[in-house]
Order: sequence, then structure tokens, then C-alpha cells
Amino acid sequence: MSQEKTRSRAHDLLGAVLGTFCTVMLVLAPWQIDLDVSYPFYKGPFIMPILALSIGVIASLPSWYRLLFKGKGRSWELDGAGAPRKPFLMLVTALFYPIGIFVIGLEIATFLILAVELYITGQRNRKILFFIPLLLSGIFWLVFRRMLDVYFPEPLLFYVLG
Amino acid sequence: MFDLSIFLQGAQQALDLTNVLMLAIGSLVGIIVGILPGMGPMVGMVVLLPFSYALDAGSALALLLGVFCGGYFGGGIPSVLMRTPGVPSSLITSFDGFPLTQKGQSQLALSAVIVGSFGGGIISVICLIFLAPLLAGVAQNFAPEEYFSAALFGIVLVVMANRQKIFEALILLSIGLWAASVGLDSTTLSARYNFGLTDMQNGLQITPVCIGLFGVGQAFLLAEKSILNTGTSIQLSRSTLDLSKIWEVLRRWKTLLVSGIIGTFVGLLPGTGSMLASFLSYETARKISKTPEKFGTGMPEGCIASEAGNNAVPAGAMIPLLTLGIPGDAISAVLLGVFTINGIYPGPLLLVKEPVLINELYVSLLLINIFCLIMLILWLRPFAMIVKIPNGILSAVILMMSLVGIYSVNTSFFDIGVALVFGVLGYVLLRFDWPVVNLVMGVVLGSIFEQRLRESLSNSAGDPLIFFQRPISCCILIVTILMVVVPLWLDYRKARKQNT
Repeated sequence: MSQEKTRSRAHDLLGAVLGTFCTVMLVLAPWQIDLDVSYPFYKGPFIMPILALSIGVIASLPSWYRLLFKGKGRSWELDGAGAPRKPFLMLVTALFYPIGIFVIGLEIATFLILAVELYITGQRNRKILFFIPLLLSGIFWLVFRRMLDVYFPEPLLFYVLG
Repeated sequence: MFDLSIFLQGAQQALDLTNVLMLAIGSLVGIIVGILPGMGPMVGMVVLLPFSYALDAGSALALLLGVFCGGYFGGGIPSVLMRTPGVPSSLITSFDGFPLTQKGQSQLALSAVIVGSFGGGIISVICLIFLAPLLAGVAQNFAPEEYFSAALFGIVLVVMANRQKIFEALILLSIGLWAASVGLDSTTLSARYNFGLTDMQNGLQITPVCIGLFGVGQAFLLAEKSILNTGTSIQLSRSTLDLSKIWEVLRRWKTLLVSGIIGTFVGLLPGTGSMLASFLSYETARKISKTPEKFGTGMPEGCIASEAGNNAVPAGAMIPLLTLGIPGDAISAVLLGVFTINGIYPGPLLLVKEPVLINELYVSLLLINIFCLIMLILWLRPFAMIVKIPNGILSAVILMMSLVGIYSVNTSFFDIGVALVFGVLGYVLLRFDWPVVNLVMGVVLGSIFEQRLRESLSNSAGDPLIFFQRPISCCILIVTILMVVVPLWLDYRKARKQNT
């Protein structure tokens, strides 16, 4: 009980957000589950999603209650580590990786994206920013292309340039 | 029951060059990720998972089991030298390990950690060899009702293991169970929650989900947290382990034996994890010691007990996985994925249908423990120095390896997207310190749970009392109910006592 009083309100917010997600999925069930033939409920495809999502909705009710009615005197601060700036920038950079593979190929995309990721995480040594991406690009080429023979799309840029 | 000729066939396959190479690589990676605080064997396993798909089942399992066991071997090193546990369960090791280092006896503490891990690992493999056929024999009488009850027992145990955060655990479990239902329903072929995307018809597979939650999520977390104080100096008198100290540790064989057995049985229970194994082993060692008051001040028995307990968990966790097809934790869930992708379905008949593979697995586990022991004896200082690698570099490299690894499994950019979405969720949950394992268990057990529930209810025309009409199912359900009621009642009593 005392732990609940001292816990950040951010926990309640997260609980409420995930509970809302469960509620939305529960409401969407009739539209998101196709059923041409009628089955009894216990044999049909509805039983599991409805059972699972109902647990989530019910379990999130305490979070909603604390968020709406028990917020007085409790802080929103989570762990004092501040806003997740680095993870956000890393995520945005990572989103360009599949595009990079598609446009400039695995090796060059790995080299560039990893160099940027390393820069974001605080590396400023030029040797690290050059050699680690170079090493990992080489490992990826060796392991994924040569050893595992994984298919990667032909780089669009090379295709356009002939 | 024990067939020597099949065991020798399994041993022959385990000693195959590819298999030996894979278990050596797995052990090496495991020790490295175990030593690095904040990572642990799960991160190592998910990063290597895509590579394992190119191997046969035996070698793939050797690779991943190497990481699993190696992680616990490595986790004790920084906890002894720097009071910084590599894996959470090694926190208990630091209670006596770090005081020993402060007294200038780091070689004795490290010997206790390494020999303790080795002993725990070997004892648990022996237990696995004898217990798995027994449990498989019982499980051969299982019908869908028993499987459902066993899956429910596993789910309840995982939730109750996190009962301090029970609502968080339930929310994550429900999302995991829901995620398992996404895609085409195998019975009715109805599309569920595909939102009009054809890629979603295959469902949310365990590999991108695990790589997202543990690989990508952990990479994001490492990027922003300076988890380790790298300024702490490492006190090591020599670069290899002092062999004379090993004999000193082996004289405490009783602690080793008891802790190994405790760790195996804790590993057998779903959701309990290595932390409990370490803690129970440590407490038992203290109770049976002639000088319990000295625990916490630098007793080698403390390190032996803690490490033997946590390193016995991997083989213990294999028992329900191999015999029931029910993984007890997230790491076993990943191993289950390796089995199924090779067309092997763990369950009571696995020991009958694939006896050579099972024996190969036993021998591989024994070899992994031997490899880890030798590696740590010979390369102690280089391994200890790994903690000096900056988190930023690790974070960026893990992220890239996770992304390209997940693409290579199905050559699907969609899987990268799934891994990134679950990576964000994993980062948030890890930072909020929510029990992520519940989400993974939901995804893994969801399909088993649903299939057996629907089969059972179909057999009884929708009557849920069917689960109480079969004796084994009824017993499992009663134990499950007790697992919920007893801890909650004890917590309530404790709270009342404290209030008065």
C-alpha cells in the first residue's frame, strides 16, 4: 500500500493507456474477426481475444481509479533519468535502416546508420565512428550474404545508376 | 529406461564439429553478455536467434543453450570484482564475493563462483536426465484438459511470481495472450486483427516479439543509462584462475550439491527464475552452515550456493519444456521456437520419438558447462575487462544486429517493423520496471492455451466442469488455486501483523 502511495503517477498513466488499448481491441472484435460460418462461442475464434482482453480491461481499472481520483501529492517523475532523447533519436534513425537497405544496400546502410547511432549514443572518437561500422558491415556481409545466403533486395540506387 | 546405445549416439552427434563449434561460440557469447551488466543471456540469445535458424535442431539448441548457461557463468564475475551483478541473480553472489575481494581473496571468490556455476550446471543436467523420463511418463496420460490446466498453472505461477505488481502483470499477460491470437485462426481459418494487412495474417511471431522486447528495447535502455560505474578498478592478481583455490572450493561439496538440487527444482517451476534459485540456495547454505553469522562478511559458501543455484536453472527449465512442451520462462520460450521451426514439437512423446536428439541435448549441456569452466579458468582477466566497453557502443551494435537478424529470419521488412514496435514497448516496460516476462509468456502460451481450451470445451459441449472431472487436471487446478490463494492470504496476514 505504501509503495502505491510513493509510486510515480506515470505508472498509472501507462496502465490506463494499455487498458485503453485492450478496451479498443475488445470493441473492435466484431469487425476485426472474420467469421463466415457460425460456431458456438467455445469453439469459435472469439473466445481467446475476448477472454484475454477482458482480463486487461479489468486489470487496468485500478490504474484508472488512481489516475483520476488518487493523484493528490503524488509526482509524475519516474526515475529522474529525464526524457528519453537518445532512444527516440535511435528509433528514428533505425526507421531509416530498412529504407537504406532497399536504396543503398545492406553494407553501406549498415555503415552509415551505425555511424549515426554511435554518434547519437555519445561517441565522438573518429576512429570508433569509422572502424566499428566498417567492422560490423564486413561481419554482416560475411555472415548474412556469404554464409547464410540471405536474400537482400538489389540496391535501388545501383539499379537506377545502371 | 536409460539406453546406453542411444546415449552414445547422442554423444556422437554432440561431439560433431559443427555442434562443438556452436556450443563454444554460444558459451563465449553467453559469458560476455553475462559479464556485461544490464544485458544478460536473453539479449545474447535473441541476437543469435536468427543465426540459429540456419542450423539443424541440435546445433541451434547447443548455440542458444551455450548463451543461456554461459550468461549465468559470467554474471558472477563483475559481482565479485565490482559488486555489480552481471545478471540479477548474481546480486546474491556479491553479498560474500565482494567482501572476499576486499580482503584480497578475489581468486578464492572467483573460484567459488566458477566452480559453483560448474557444479550447479552438472548436477542439474544429471537431474534432467533422470527426471525428464519420469515426468514424460506421467504426461503420456495427458488429454487436452490436462494440457490446458498445466498451461494455466504456468501462467498463474508467472503472474504470482510478480504479485507485488499483480495488475501490471495481468495487463501484460492479457496483451500477450491477445497478441498470440492475432493472424489466421488455425481451426476456423478466420482472420483476426490483421487490420487489412496481409503480413499480419501470419500473426505476431515469437521471434520478432522477443527480439523487439529484449534486443531493441534493451539497446534503447543501454543508450541512455550509465548502468555501470566503469571507474571502479578491477582487482585481479593474475590473468588466469588459481587452480589451488579450486580444490579449496571443492572441499565445500555439500553446499554445491544441495544448491544444485534446489536450483534445478526452482528452474522446473514456471516463472520463478534464477533470482529465487540463488536466494533459496544462499539461505539454505546459511542455515546448514556451522557459522551462519559469518555469511555476508566473505564466506565462499555464499558464492558457491548462489552460483550453483542460478546455474542449475537452465537445465531445470528444460524439464517442463521437453516433457510438456510448456516453457517456464521467456528464455525457454525462445528455445521452444527453435524446436518448432525444425518441425519438432516438445511434449511427452518427444523422448520416445527423438531419443537421439534428447541425448545430444544432455551431452551438449554437459559440454557447455565444461567449456565455460575452461574458458573462464584460462581467460579470466580478458573476460573481466569486458565490463569496460562503453554502453553506447554496445547499444548501437545490439540494435543493428537485432534489426538485420530479424530481417534474415523471413527476409521480411515487416518483421523489422514489428521488432521496432515491440522494442519501443520493451523499452518503456523495462524503464518502468514492469514484469515484461508476463507479456512474453502470454505470447508463447497463448496458442497452447487457446487450442487446448477449445478442444476441451468441444469435448464437453461447452461445459467448463470437464476440467475438474479428470483427476490429473483437477489436481493441477487445485494446486493452481492454492498458488493464488495461499500467497495472497499470507501477504494479507503479514500486512495485518505489520499494521498492528
